Amino acid sequence: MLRKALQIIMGTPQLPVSSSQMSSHKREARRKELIKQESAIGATLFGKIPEGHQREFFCLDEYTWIWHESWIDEDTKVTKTMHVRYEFQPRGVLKIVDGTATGFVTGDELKYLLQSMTTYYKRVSKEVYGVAPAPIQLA
Amino acid sequence: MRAENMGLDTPNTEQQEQLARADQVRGQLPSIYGIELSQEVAQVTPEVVYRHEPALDAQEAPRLFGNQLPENVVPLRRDTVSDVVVLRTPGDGRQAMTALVNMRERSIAGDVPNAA
Repeated sequence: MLRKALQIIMGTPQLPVSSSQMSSHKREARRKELIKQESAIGATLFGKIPEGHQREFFCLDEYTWIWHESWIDEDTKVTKTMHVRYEFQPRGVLKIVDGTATGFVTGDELKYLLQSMTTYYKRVSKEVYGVAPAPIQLA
Repeated sequence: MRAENMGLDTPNTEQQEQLARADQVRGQLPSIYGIELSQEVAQVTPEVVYRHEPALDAQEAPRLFGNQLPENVVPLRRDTVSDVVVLRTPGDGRQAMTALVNMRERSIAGDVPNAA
């Protein structure tokens, strides 16, 4: 605290960020950049994006997929968003829309979702990471 | 054979309090999720743990059971469901996700060239 107070009084610069912190920041920035590239592919997997809409679809981590869509409402000119999380759980894939769980995904929605994830994996492997995708069987 | 001899110690007071809190949170889960949970999720077992403690993270969660988690139990990051930590076994459906995340991490480490 004394050091911080002296820094404020004397106007001395803050201590430089440690190399490990910098490395962590770089890794996180790189992770975000890769997810952005993956999402550019993911956004194309569910058909044509309506005009004026921005869509993101990506694998966040080993348990979670994200679908985020935003658009400007023509009547109110207000930006609207829809945020969907698909969470892999022991019983199935839990769908959470704008923070509210809506139940486990079933039927055609589940079939199309899993197909899209498979396509995402194959395309991202090749187009983002330049590697041949390993055979995957989605349950 | 007694449970103590099998390495399953009787919960101490702190653990009992944690379990009691977990039970309390379990009752709140339907309102958190908005759905009724199945027995496997609603039951407080070493595989499924809930604790209504915002500070709790995946590293802390196993402490609820004295670091005696069964094999294949994976603690989830607490931000997947707000204020709830769920421990669950990995499913087959996560193969693609695991492969993707591994590929991403290897790319960040420089082991996989970025084609884009």
